[in-house]
Amino acid sequence: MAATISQAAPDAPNFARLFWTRTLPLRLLACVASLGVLLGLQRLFEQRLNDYFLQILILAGINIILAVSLNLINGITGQFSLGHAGFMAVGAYVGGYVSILGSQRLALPPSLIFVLSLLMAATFAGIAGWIVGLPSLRLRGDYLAIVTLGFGEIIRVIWTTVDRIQLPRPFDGLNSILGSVQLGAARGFKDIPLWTNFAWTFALVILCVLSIRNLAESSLGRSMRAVREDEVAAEAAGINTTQVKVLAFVVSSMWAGIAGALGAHLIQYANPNTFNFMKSVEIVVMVVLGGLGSITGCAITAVLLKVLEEVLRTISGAFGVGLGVVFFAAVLSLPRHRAAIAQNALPGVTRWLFWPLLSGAALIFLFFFRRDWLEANVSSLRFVIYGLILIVLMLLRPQGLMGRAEFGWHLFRRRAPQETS
Amino acid sequence: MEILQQIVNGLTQGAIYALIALGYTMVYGVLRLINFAHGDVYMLGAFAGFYSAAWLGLTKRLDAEAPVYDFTHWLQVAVVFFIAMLACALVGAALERFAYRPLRQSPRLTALITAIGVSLVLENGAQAVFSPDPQPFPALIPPTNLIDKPDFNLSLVQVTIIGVAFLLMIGLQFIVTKTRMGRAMRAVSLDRNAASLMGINTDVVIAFTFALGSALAAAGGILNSVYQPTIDPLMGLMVGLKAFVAAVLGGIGSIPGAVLGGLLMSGAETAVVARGYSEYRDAIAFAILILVLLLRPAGLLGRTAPEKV
Amino acid sequence: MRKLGISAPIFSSLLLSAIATTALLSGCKEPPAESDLGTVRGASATPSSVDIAKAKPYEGSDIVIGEYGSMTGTTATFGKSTHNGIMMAVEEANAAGGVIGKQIKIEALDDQGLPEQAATVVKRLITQSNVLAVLGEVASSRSLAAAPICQKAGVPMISPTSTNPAVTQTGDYIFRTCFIDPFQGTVGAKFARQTLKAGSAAILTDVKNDYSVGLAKFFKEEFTKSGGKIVSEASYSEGDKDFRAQLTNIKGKNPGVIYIPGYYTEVGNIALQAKSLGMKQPLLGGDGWDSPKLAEIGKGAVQGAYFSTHYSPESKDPRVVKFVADFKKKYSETPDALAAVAYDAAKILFAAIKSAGGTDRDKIRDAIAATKNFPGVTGDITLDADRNAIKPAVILQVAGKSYKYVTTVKP
Repeated sequence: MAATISQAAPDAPNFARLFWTRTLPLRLLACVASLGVLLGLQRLFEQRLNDYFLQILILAGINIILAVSLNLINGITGQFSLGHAGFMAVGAYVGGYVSILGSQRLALPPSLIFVLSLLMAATFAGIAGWIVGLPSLRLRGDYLAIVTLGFGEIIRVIWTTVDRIQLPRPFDGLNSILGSVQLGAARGFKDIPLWTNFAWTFALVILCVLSIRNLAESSLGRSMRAVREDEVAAEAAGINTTQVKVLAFVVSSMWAGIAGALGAHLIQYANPNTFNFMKSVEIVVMVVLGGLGSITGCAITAVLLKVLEEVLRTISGAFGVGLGVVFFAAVLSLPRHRAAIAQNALPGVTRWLFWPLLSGAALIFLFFFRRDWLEANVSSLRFVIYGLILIVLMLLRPQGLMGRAEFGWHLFRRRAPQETS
Repeated sequence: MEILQQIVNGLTQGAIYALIALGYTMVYGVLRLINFAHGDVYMLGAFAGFYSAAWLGLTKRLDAEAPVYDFTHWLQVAVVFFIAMLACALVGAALERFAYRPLRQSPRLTALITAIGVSLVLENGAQAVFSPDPQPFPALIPPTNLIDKPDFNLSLVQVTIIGVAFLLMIGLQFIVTKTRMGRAMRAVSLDRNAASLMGINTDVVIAFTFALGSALAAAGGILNSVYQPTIDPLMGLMVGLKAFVAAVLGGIGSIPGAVLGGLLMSGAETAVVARGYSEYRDAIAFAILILVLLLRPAGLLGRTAPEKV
Repeated sequence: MRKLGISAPIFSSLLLSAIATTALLSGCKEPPAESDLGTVRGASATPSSVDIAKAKPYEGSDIVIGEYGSMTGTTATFGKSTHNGIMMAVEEANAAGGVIGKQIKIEALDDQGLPEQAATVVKRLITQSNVLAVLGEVASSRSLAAAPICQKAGVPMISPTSTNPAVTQTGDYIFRTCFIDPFQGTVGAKFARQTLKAGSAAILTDVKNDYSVGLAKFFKEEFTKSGGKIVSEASYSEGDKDFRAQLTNIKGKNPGVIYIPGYYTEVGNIALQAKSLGMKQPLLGGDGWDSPKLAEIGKGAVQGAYFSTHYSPESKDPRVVKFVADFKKKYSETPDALAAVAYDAAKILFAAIKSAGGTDRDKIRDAIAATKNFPGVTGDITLDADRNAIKPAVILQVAGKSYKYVTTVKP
């Protein structure tokens, strides 16, 4: 797809080209087909899949939106943002607010109100992203991370203090309408309608992945990657780096807002404490584990981490995952010891297997002889395992699951994939 | 007088923030790594102090009706500090050896995620081992007031905290500016490769930096627990974050900056709370940070490094 | 170099999104598709208008009860207390031969103190483990996320200590065994006005805790209504350790009493710091104070402070004496209020299963709703038409390492 695009003349935009590309009918067809598939799946899942799996599936979908959108900033543009949860909070609150107010005041079908609330969530989250991004994106690296973290926390604190919308003097006539929805401050925002379901979520997942992939492959996306590789060089090459970064930030925030709104309409309740610093970290972890810059990788880890979270809830699950981690650690660390093993087999093998065997033995000991202690502390221990997975993966495969590789049709074609970064 | 009281309140809390901020700033200085697990090392320090006080029989003695604060008591308190600081120094060095050293050459984000992983392991491991309940910390320093007026109070604890904290900071400044190891640390933070070419064993220097920062965090952990006598496995979470903000505020990599940042942060928090906007306490720290970084990206006392092209 | 402009791919993705939206919408308008996208029918905010399958009828030789709580995160200690209380009730019931001849098993899952997690784990309990009933949560924020799910699935849920009135308003399957915020806040204000004769009060609220915010709100209403004056309203966040700034400010206003509707984890510190600042006002709080840890942490500073709670562990009532003794034997600590209320919640559930005589969830629901004068350790519990517990509150005063009974306030 990308090939047809780059020819568009930037100086004198050919409006016909903007609407019409040769592949448009094909795309429309794909669009309709995927919607059909989604609706079919929705029907099938609601009959065949129990509520719990459906919930996991939907939450995994929301995770994908979060991870893929953060990837636009962290992976593709190379800017380190730690405040994604803040934009989620904006989306969750605005979305819930519009839905409740809309259902009360507008005589529209609920699905239209839902679309409206998602759009408003995206808009406000985007505005928040713009407000945050404009000043802070002049900073680099860790400083940017801290500033975004700070903004995320500030957004969260604001929601813990707002009970109702109260406009000041000249607009106070609107308060009787706008203030009729209680946001609940620290007590949380309740009674949000249950509108999120499988079809909505995955339609948006597809849209999100498509829009971010297309953005990343456009000339703008190339500018973003140029900023990631070397900001000074990009600047010297005439790219307006601030504008590129702010754009990435706004698009990413909009999707975070949509994810937040989806989540709020699934749980039917939003609490400012949900959108804390740890939530932002969780999203960053998905992106880094998936591979910075790889949309496929982010989407895969977003789902994997959700599944992992559930598997780790039981002791046997945690035990299995623990042994799996040890095994993969051993396999992944083999290349580093290969030379030593070839040179002198026994000491080399000992060095290679020392830690895996030791930790495996410790795990087995705990599982069979300290079962009571494990039972009592399984919930704490699952975060210990989660943390260990992060450490082991970072030590042994720092580029993440996919590196920068993408899954795509190019894998099935003869032609060598062309990576242009 | 109320304002004077608030100043003392702010100064004490600021001294504790500063002690923790120093660990962040030193590690950042040599490795350019935000050591997210530092707040948890502070927590471990408090627990080490708690258990060593119990081991020395201090806890039991202080629970008595009228505990005696004689020479042996102060000696024991010194031992408690020593054990906790040593334990945390070892933990810090071990973290560096096993979690961060293998990542020396990889991108900084990788090391950051590792730090988050370490932090998760420490927090939740501590919950499993120590139980999540808050524990009452023994009153190592007698809870008497030096000045006890109706509108102004100054407790011995506050004076000790400010005193000990500043002694430790002066000690640190001495180590960094006057000793061989300190010179090596400064060299590594300026340019690690060049330092290693000059014959400096960078591995030892970095491990030492971690150990030193962790020991200071342990001291901060004990001082804070004497001042606000409960400890729990998640106590390092918010304090760690705020201390880090303090380090950035003062100019990360700069030791006087960390101290200034800690004091400023706690001063701002105290002011906001004293004005009655206590729900914005957590927000104000970040708001100030954002303002400072926008106006002076290197922090208050940080050096503005020219961009290398 | 070229300027940034909207390029074709962005435009076509915008176009695609517009098309997709229209498609989704038009899908909604057709009758067959409506139920696909449309849990949205009716636009009503009440979840009962959404039909999702009810839970499968209960099967299994044992009775499996689900519990969700915060075993990790900042409120882990509350989740643990609650779990201990429930486990104690379970062991007693099993030792006595189980309920309706079946042994009871608890499946406890961690929600990390997050609403989103609570919703997920409760779905898991209901669909995967097919639990008969659900016990939890301590905090209203999590109960509010889980309650609609239990309601929809028709699984009775008893929250031990969620005090937000909205929790049981979710539907007729949701119960609680504690008093609600308005009651306890009012009790505190009445006690401050009538017994302590305070003319002015300061409130110190934990803003991260809906429980604390709720109590503060109703304390303020009642206190001002009965002629008192609130001179200062300060707040802190759960996990804070330094309260000197707030306290110094309050001290300057010189209130007659300080109302601190928080949890003992912070209150002990607040009391100590208030004392070191030379404040002599009586401190007053709610059932969040009720833990042996309060006196351990607060030492001399909490002596003489008052709080409203469910029961007095010093009570000579044989039920309480036995409960406290057994609990101490099992966990080697005195039970706090959370453990006691959770114990009662589990007991009420078992009694209801017994009187329902089987594992039909609707009958159990009816049996819980009919609970009247249940002899719990936290008093005689009756559930009213709104499924809230009606029971007296007691005011206790901290004296040494234990609490002195002051008065009982009936609802």
